[in-house]
Amino acid sequence: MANAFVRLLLAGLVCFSEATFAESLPNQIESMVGSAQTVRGKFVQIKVMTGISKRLISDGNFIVDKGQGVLWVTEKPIYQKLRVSNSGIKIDNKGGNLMTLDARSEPSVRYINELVLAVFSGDMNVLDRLFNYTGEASSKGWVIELTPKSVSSAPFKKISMTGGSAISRITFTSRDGDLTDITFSEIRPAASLTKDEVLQFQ
Amino acid sequence: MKYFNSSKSLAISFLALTLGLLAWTIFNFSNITTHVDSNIFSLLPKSDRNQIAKEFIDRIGKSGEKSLVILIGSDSLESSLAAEKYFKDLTIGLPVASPSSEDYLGLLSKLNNHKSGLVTPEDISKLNSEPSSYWFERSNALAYSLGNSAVPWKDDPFGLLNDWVYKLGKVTKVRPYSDSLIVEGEGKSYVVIPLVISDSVSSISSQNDLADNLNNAINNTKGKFPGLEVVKSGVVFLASATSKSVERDISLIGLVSSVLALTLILIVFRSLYAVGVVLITVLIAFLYAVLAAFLFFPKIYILTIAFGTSLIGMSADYCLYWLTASIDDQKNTFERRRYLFPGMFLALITTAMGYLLMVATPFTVLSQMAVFSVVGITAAWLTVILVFPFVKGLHFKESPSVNLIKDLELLISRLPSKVRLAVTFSMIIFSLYGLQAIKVDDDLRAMASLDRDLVADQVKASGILGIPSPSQFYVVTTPSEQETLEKTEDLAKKLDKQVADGLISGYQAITLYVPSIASQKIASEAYISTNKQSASKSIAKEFGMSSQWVKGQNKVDQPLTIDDLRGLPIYQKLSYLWFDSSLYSGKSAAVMLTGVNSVAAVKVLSGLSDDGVSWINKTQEISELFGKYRTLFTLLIFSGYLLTFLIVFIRYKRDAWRAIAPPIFATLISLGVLSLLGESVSLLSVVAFALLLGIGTDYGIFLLQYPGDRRVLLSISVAGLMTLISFGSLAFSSIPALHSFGIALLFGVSLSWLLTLFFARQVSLNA
Repeated sequence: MANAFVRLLLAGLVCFSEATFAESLPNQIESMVGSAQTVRGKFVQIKVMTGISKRLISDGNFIVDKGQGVLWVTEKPIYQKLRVSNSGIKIDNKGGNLMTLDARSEPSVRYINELVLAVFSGDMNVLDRLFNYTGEASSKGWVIELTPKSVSSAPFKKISMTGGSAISRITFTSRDGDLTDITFSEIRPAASLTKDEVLQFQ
Repeated sequence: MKYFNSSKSLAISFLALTLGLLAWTIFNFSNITTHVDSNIFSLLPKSDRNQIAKEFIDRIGKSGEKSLVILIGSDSLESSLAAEKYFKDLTIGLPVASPSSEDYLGLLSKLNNHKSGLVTPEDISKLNSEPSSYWFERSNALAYSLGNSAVPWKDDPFGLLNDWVYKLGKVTKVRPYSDSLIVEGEGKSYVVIPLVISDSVSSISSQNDLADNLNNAINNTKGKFPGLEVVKSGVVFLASATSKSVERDISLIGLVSSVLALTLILIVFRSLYAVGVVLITVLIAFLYAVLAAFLFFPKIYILTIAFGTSLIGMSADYCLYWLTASIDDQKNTFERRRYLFPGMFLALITTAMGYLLMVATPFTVLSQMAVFSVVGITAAWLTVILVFPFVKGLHFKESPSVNLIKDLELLISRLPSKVRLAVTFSMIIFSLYGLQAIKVDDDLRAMASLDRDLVADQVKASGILGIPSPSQFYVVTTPSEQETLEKTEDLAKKLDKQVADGLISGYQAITLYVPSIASQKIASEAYISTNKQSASKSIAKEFGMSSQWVKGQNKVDQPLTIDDLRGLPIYQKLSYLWFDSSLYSGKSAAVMLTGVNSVAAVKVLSGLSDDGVSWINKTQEISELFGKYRTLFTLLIFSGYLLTFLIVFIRYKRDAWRAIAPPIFATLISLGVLSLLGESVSLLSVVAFALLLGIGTDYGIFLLQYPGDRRVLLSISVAGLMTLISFGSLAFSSIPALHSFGIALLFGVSLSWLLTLFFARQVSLNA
């Protein structure tokens, strides 16, 4: 069931790219974001879906580690733990494992991991490969909008990201007009994962 | 004089016709050359046990003809992508295009209208067992997940259609990545570049140009990115390599046989005039042969033309009968014609019979070769019979070459009887060896000189991309669409087990896209399970959805049928899996397999066929067909010898064996020599021995007919040498089939000629 995430990212990958942005932008963003091995933080996600009156608000925490992948833990209103790594994608809820996707049986796991890492760690090199983008950067911060080249074949209309020394907000806009808005807080870069965190990635 | 006049008008008519055809050919030359074909699919036999299977193979062939795939692989995805970009820049302007996109969203919205029936077996069992709390949580988890899915949450709140679509995606290992396609295989990251060849590429030369340009681009890209692996797959590469090697063959064989044939004529007749006359005859033969092939067949496979080079010697043969007969001959040309006519007619008929055997096979390329050769030699024969009597100056003096032949004959006839006995005995022994040492080879691939590296690439690409085999598959046929789909699903279930057992790596079937109505009914029943219904009510309450929405999530949709997909690009793409045509009663589906690579697997797979489900094994079928005709022709040769012996016996009584024994021994000894050389016997070698039956017995009959005529001895000797040149030069061919044909006749004809002298009646030649 919870292949939704995979499909979301697969769709994102289908989005076609052509590097048309100013050359200085990725370098600027990259120099501002820095290149810590590990970043931890909290997030609030607001989903606005067409045809659904309720705004779906959830929050939790995340860890991004360039070596291990991404750990995305939703705490409220329902507990859900998503782990994306080079070897697979795993989603657990309070009842146990909801879905496991092995990189050996699903080749796109590798690309999803790469994209997720790139988005959350600001790896402009990878994003440059995957999307068209426009944006600007100043001493106060940066804004970037990623768009697929061919909108007709991608459920994504665009991904917007803003940030300063770290990424502070991401908005996904789907083809159907659904909005997923994620705000980050308490972002803490670190040189490595703690032992406890390493275990969480297992 | 009346005879003379009608003969003259015949000659003039023939010449006029020839000139007219020549003019027409010159004007339509470019048109004729576009009919030459180097597609290996043309080699497939035309008659099939299963017409529908043939139709499916044609479809694969047709789409395969126009498409190619290039895989660019390296240890890192990044450098593969960089190499792809470099390669694509190099191929700008070439007559190839990326295939059109599949309209994934159009398909999704179509499927959404039939979603109650499109549920995976895993989800069906969950729908029938999991409590409503499970479905409530599952829907919540999807709603709060990071981002959104391909089918929006409000249309698919439990992710059922999403799961079904995801399973469909498993058919291929290729995944999109930005605007590229990626596949992982053998520890490498490959970028997949599918290309469709533009319709403007139709002639062999434009095909070769395209293949050359692509190969150059590949080599440049490899040079730029060290360590890069490029795997190319596509009929165009094979066709281009084949046509190039065949072209090399044609020039080499053509050159060798022309030079040898003309040298032989020069040596025997010491006259450039004779050379000119022979050359013109050969050209006339080729004119008629090419036109016949062009008229009889929509496409002429390039192999036919390679084989056709043997026509040079065959048509020169008839000139030689005439020219040798003219040596020191005082008869006028019409008397000479009357004298030569029976012998030449016999020679034409026996040779043509050999070729006509080839027409009888279902292999188009063999029929083409036969038509080409029969028409060619007939034209040469007609030229000699109709025109030569009017050609001035065809009168030659005896040359020392005649003495050479005479010396040889004397040498053989003066062999001590002990030696004769020993030779005969060893021939019998060696013949027996030849009979039992035969190694047969009925592989279709012998008909094409397929480049080994290209074939390896093709196999590798199929493995990495999971392309199903075009030669081993199932065809399911029943009177109705639904029955066919149901039978296909039954078969698919059996194949699931084979996949689990590792006998095959996967399969493709139409029912993965359109399940039978019966299956969709089972899915729909699970879809409206009470647990899911109550969960959707709770969800509606939680998320503020209307009661209308709840109803919409719990209704049974119209089942999806194949007709629903018509008009979508995917319908065209699935044409190799589904077949309905007004030409055939019934509906058919093909089930294609990937990763079939063991004999054990083939055995198990063939056992899965039953009423309505046929197992098609094209490779085996073609081999069996080759084998069948090989056996049939062997029997024909056997009865041919018997029949010839009877006819010759009536006329020559006790001496009849002298005409029959040489070609028989020649055939058997050749078989022995071939197996000593490590050559195997194919259908074409058997055709070669059938030709030898005709050619070889001619020599013996001529010698029995004119025992003292040394011109006849010279005639058969020169004709034998010429045949040797024309067919023997085929032994130089890179195409295994032509090579084995050539080599069989090389030994067969020379032995037959020598043995004819060996077995000839001992008479004085000084008559």
